[in-house]
Formats: sequence, C-alpha cells, structure tokens
Amino acid sequence: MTAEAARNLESVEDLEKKQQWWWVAEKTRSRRLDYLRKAIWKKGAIGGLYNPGVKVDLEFGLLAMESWNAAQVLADPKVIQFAKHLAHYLDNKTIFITDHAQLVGYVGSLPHTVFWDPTMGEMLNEEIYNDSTAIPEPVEESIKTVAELCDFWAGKTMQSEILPTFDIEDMMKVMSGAVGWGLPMSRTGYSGKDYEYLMTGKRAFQDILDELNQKIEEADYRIHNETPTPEILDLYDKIDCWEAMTIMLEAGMRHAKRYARLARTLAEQFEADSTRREELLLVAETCEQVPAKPPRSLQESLQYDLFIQLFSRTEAVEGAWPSRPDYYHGPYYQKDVNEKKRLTEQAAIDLVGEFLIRAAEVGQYKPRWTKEGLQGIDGTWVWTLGGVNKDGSDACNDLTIAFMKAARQVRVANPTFALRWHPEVRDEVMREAFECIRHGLGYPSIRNDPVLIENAMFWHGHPVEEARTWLHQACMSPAPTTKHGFQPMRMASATANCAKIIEYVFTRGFDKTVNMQMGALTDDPRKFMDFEEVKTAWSAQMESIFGLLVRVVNRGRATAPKTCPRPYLSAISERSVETGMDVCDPSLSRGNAWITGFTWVENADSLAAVKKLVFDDKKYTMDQLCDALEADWEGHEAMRLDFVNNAPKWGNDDDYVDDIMVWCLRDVARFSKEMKCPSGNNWPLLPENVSGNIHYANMVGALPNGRRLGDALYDGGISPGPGLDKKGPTAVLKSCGKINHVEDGRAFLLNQRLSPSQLAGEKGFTMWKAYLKTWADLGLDHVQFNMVSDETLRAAQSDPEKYQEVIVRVAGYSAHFVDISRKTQDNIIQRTVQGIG
Amino acid sequence: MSRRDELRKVQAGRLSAQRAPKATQVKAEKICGLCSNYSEGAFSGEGAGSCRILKVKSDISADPPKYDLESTDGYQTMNLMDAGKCQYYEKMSFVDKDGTECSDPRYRRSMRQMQD
Ligand code: SF4
Repeated sequence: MTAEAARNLESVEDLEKKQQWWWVAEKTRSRRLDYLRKAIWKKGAIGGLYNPGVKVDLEFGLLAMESWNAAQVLADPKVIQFAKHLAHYLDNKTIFITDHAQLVGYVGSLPHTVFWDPTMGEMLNEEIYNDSTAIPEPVEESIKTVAELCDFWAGKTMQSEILPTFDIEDMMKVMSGAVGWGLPMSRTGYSGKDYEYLMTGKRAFQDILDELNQKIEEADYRIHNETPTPEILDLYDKIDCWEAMTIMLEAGMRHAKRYARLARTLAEQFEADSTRREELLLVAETCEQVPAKPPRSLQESLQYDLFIQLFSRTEAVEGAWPSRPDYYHGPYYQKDVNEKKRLTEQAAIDLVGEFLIRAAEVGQYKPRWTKEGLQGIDGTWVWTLGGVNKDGSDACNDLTIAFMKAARQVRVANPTFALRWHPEVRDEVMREAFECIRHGLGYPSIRNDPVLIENAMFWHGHPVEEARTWLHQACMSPAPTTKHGFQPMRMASATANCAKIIEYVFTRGFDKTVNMQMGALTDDPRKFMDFEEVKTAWSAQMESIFGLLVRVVNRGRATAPKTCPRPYLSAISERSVETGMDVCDPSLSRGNAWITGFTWVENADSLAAVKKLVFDDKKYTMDQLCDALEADWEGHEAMRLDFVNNAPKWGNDDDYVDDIMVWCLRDVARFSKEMKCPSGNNWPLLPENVSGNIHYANMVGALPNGRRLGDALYDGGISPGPGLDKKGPTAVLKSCGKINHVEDGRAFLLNQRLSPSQLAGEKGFTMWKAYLKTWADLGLDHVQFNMVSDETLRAAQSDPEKYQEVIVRVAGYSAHFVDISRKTQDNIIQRTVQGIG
Repeated sequence: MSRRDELRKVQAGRLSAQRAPKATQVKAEKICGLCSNYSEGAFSGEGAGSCRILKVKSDISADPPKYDLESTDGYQTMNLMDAGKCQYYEKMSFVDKDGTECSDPRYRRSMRQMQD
C-alpha cells in the first residue's frame, strides 16, 4: 500500500492525535479549496534558487521595450511616459483564469512565472542572466532574449537614473551589501496604501478619475487665464502628475474588464458544468463592478483588494503587503453572511481561503540577497488582524475568526497574520489564534496593541485616532492607514547588519569581506584600557553605520518623486489626488521611518563577554582577543569556548548582560532622535531578522561572543541566541521586560519555541494564556511561536517529500520547512524549546 | 588619487561589468571567480566582487598587469574577469555547486556560466 493510500484510511481524529495537521487540513477542506491550494506554484526560494519549474517572466520586458521604442517619438514628460509603459503592459499582458477560481488576477503572465521588470536595475538584470535555473524553456532562445533585454536596458534603468544622485562614497558602501539591504528606490520596498481613502466603500477608481479630470481642467484653466506667478508654475508638474494618475486608473479599469470578458466568454462558450458557469458569470459581474465602482459584496471586496495589489505590484517590486483585511472587508462579510445570508459561513471561509491562495502565489523575481534573507517566501506578507477601532473599542469581528479558520485549511506560509492583542479581545478570537499556532502555522504572531499605539505616538507623533488604525508595514513595524500617516514607501536600505557594529570595533571600521573602509576609523582596540573605551568605539561604529544608511535613504526619499515617480500609488492616495504631487513626496507625509536591526543581539553578548573576561576577570588581554578574532578563533579554541560558555548571555534575566543590552538600545534611541527623515521625523531602531542571520553568516567575521565567520548568527530581534537561554521562558520574558518597548525602539521581535505535546487540549490553552498575561504585564510588544516538535523537524529533514507541508516560524515570517536552507533549518531546531506553566 | 576618485574607479568597475554587452562575456580558463582570493559582497548576484589581495589601483587586464598592494580599498573585479595574466591567481575548488545553500562562495556556485 502506498503512503498516500495508507493516509487515506486514517481518520481525521487519528491524524489530529499524531498532530499531522497538514493532512487534517487536506482531509477537511472543500474540494474547490483543495484544488486551488494544490495548484499554487511556490515562489519562495530555497536558499538562493527558485523551486524547480518556476521561471522568470519575459513578457513585461518585451512589452516595455515595445512601448519604450514607441515613446521615443513622443515628447511625454517622464511620469506620463512611465504610466503609459505600465498601461501598455496591463492592456496586452497574458491573462488567465484557473479552474475553480472565483478570484482572479496575477502579477505575471503564467502561474509558474516570477515577474521581472528589466527597467528596474542592471544589478538585477545581470543576476537573471546569470541564473542557472529560472530561465524559461526553450532555454537557448530565452537566454538570447534575456541578453537582448539586459543590453537594451543597460544605462536606461531606474538604478542608472538614481545612482548619480547619491554621494559616491555612501553609494559604494551601500552597494557592497555589507551593512545594508537594497538600493533606495521608491519602486522597490514596502508600499503602504491609503486604505482609509480607498477601502471604506466611499469611492473607487471611477470616482477618483472624475475628481482628477476636474482638477486637470481647473489647473489648465488657471494656467491660461490667471496672472503668471510661481504658484502657476507648480501647476505644470501637477497636471503631469494628475494625468499620469488618470492613465493608471483607466488602465486598471480596462484590465479588470479584460477579466470580465474572459470569464464571460469561458462561461458562455466553453463551460459545460452549470455550477461552474454560474461561478464564471459571477466573476465577470465582479470584474465589471470593481475596481471601477465600490464593492457590494465580500467577493467584490476581496477582488477589489486583489486588483489594487496587482497594479501596485506591476508598478513596483513590493517586498511586503501591508494589510488589515478583517477590518476593511469585515463589513461585507457581516452583510453577506450574517445579515443577508447570501453566503454560508463555509462558502465565505472558502472565499477567504482563496484570497490567501491568490496572495501566496504572487512572485516577483528577487535578487539573491533577498531570496536568502527571505527564504521560502516572496516577501513578508504579514497581515494585521484584530486591534481596535478609531474610538478605541474592540475591532475584532467574525471575519477575524474566518481568516484564522481559513488559514488552517489552506496552510499557506505567506501571507501570515499578526494579531493586535488588547485586553478586550474575546476569548473566542484568542482560541482561534491559539489553534493556528498549535497547528504549527507559526502565526499569528501576537502584538501588544496598547504598547504599539503608544509607541507610534511617541516616535512619530501620530494622533491617537490615526495610531489606532495601524497595520504591519512589513513584518513588524506599525504604520497608520490614514491620509498623512500611511507610508507609501519604506526603502529597505535602512536595514542594518548590526553585528558589524561590534565587528568594526575590532577592525577599526575596515570590512574584510568587501575589502573597504566601511565604518569609522576608531581607536586601536589593542590599546583600550577599560570597558568605557570599548563602549565609545561601539557608539562611533553604530553612528557611522546607521548614519550611512539613513543618509542614503533620506536622499533616496527626497529625490524619489522626480527619479522614480509612482503614478498608480499616487492615484489611490488622497494626499496626491488632492495636491497633484507624487505620493512619495516627503512634504505630504508625517514620516514613519525606522531602521531594521538585523543581527542585533550579538552586540550585547559580545560586549558582555569583553567586559567580563577582559576587564572584570582580567583573564585575557585586549591584545589576545584581537589576535584570536583576527585568526577567526583558529588556534584559540579553548579561549573561544570560554567566551561562549563563561560569559553572561542575554535572555537569562541576568542584569550583567541585560544592562548592556538596555544601554545599547538607549544609545541608539538617543541617536534615533538626532537623525531625521525628510519629513522631519525620527528614525527608531527595530531589531528583527527574517532569515538575514543565515544570509549574513558569511559576511560577518569572528565576534567576541565566540562566533566564527560562517556560523549562523542569532535568529534575531531580541530573541536570545539559540540554546543560550537556559533559565526558562519567564527569564527570557524578564530580560526582554527590562527594555522599554515604547521609548527604546520601534518594536522588538521575540521568537519562542513551545512544546506541542505540553500545550495540547484545554489545559494547553489555559497555560498559553497565562504565559501571554506575563508577557503583556511586562510590556513586551511582540512574541511569535513555533510549536512543531524536534522529532517532526528532523523527520522532515531526512524525508522532505513526506513533510512538504510542515510550516515553521523563521523570524518575522513563516515558511514551509522544506523551502529553507539546511543551515536555517538547523538554526530553528537549535532554538530552545521552552516548557511553560 | 583622492578617496573620491578611488571610489569612482570602484564604481566604474562595477557598472561597466553590469553594462557590458552580453556577447562579450565569455568565460576564460582562468577567471577571478575561480580564484581563492576573490570575495563577494551580499549583492554580488550580478557577478561583481573584490580581490582580497590587490587594491583599487590594480588592473589585471593591462599589459603588463598593474598590481597595487598599498591603497585602502580592494580591487573591484568580476566573476568572469580573465585572470590569465594575474600572478596572484590561486585556483580554488568548489566543494559543491548546490546553490540552495547560503554559504561562500555564494553566487558563483549557482551561476549559469560556471556550470560544468
Ligand atoms: S585572479 Fe588576481 S585579481 Fe582576480 S581575485 Fe585572484 S588575485 Fe585577485
């Protein structure tokens, strides 16, 4: 009997007992959902390569080349030319509707392709040319096409456009990739949306289009009829910007109509099954309604959202998906399921499950550093559930619960959820969250809503009613969804490889991996006489790294409206529709900047080790330590083990090292208030990691915590080093509780592994709630859980075919265990399993 | 050479690598990407890297090659740079070519042109 046949004989109860939740899901979900779930092509990379069969999509490049050549005969302003490129693509790209689909739209031309926009940058284009696996069939011919596209766009890309606007030294340091991530362009990063403008049912594309046309008409009239003044001068650019927005909205509506036509044609001419015919006709009706007009039902609301995201992902490579789906789609669920009873609860859950699947299948070709840093996923789609309304009352609704139920049925690793916990969240909602975690999804992560609302007000001055609308801009950082509070672009370049701070203290700022003077030329560490001198050098290196990244992003943001306009995102943002200015213009934004701190905790553990073993115990000299680090600890193994085992480690409620952690964070917080973004606001630190700890393993040299070049870094945020938290979960929470989660930084990621057998049943739920109470009382802002046993993970390593569906929490996101590199798998297994209660 | 000039040279090296017509990118027998002194940054997917020994004013394609061992910043080079004339070339052997792992040499192993 095959394994599959044997499984088919097992009952749901047996599978539940064995905690094989992925088979439970497969057996209990509807046939339609099962088909759609299995039809997904996973777009996350394993290590640095895409899954077999996933290919780069050449269609955008070819259509863009066509429209570029056509544009050369027109004298269009840049923003209009760009909008026309995108419109040309939307009008001509291949579209498809998969069997059983009720929601449509895909960012590429075929389900197995990852979107590639060769106008973005030569760095990315070269990488695709070099890629050994993702070139589509027939390979020889496709390589020629890729080469042609690379050659055609060389020197004409956004990257080429922006590079000369940066300081040469800063740009070379950033492009080395040693301390920061990505280029500061407004077409790559995390785009928030003005959901309060767009998703409250008051308007849709046609309403905005009418308003824009009126604005163009008025401005045109003023130019030709009023006395010329500098104010009139501004109107020329505004008209261009408004016109580009109209091109995008019209293209979006035409694109939806193409789907309506396709669905209707399939229904009327090809579909024999009457149920499916009805479904297709409903798809057609839906796409005739949205995005032109506001949605009237749950299906239309979800489809509207998908179109909004699809067009935005055509305009830019978006590494995140800020969303608060239960809040904005909730009223339609309420109407369809509870009031008008047009949908059963299960039909609604199926629709929500399909919505998750449509998000899970999105793929845009990412450079290798992103593939490695976000193993197993295309980007961090951390969707925000729960929280409060603008008046502070509980915002959880029936759709909050439906999303969590659907997640357990479709078990996608991306999107994931983060639940905004507050004291009024009903037990029923917490129970659903617990079930998702217990079923091994690794999500939702739990966020402390009162703390984060206060934090958003403290760092960026968001008014309380706006702060209460917050969602996750990426994995962790809150951002409001309001006119001036939402963040149209978070450039990921302000993502610091923080372990370099302590590394550079010992190399005087020279980076041996990229062979450049990267940091500050601080004093010779061999001559340091006391720990204060180490701290002074640490501060200087911290300021030099963070200062570099912030300078570059500030410059990128200030020049973005001219170098990389976003006509589509502007068209769906009230502030741009109103002013005729690009959505990324810093003068329109309150500012919500933050520095993501990868590989952060190594600093506290390393500083504690230096203080203890060199200056307090005087067991070693600075000279000896410098020699050992220079040799990557080679020939100094006994000493290295001393630094690993006999120095205090973060996460054990030990003030010796915890005070150092708090000192580091407060020193950064001081500098965070001195640095300002182009909107004039602060730059707080947000320690978290995704899988940057593995990606950077070969970029960070030996450190005083005993780590060698190549060893995986800690899994990040404020999580203790794997296996180094020896005093239990309460000690971890107490260490983390010494940090002020409002004033010491933007947010703090904490990974915890819990035992699935200990947390089984009602008793487990009670214990988990007690754990969360301690967590909340200590004022922590975040925690996320892995609840998959070592046994299952080891089995998945040796027999990946059988465990395709096991999901784990990496850091800030979840991934299928088989889709992450061996090194990352090992790193997750090494995390301490905490027994609670 | 001022530091800014040095850096312009580093940048020019990198950009010319990115913009070189594909037809000219051929793999010689000895290339920097096969040398153990070659180092890649986190963004080197496009095939650029630096030398751990030679410094920025070096030029291994000149005749005779120029070797700078004094400046601060490393010599910017590429995976596919013809290293036939470089006297510091040291052939390295790849342990494996499985690009699904994240470790050094990270980009070279999975690069199409480097496959056997
Ligand atoms: S071949 Fe020469 S220039 Fe190239 S990496 Fe080796 S030593 Fe450096």
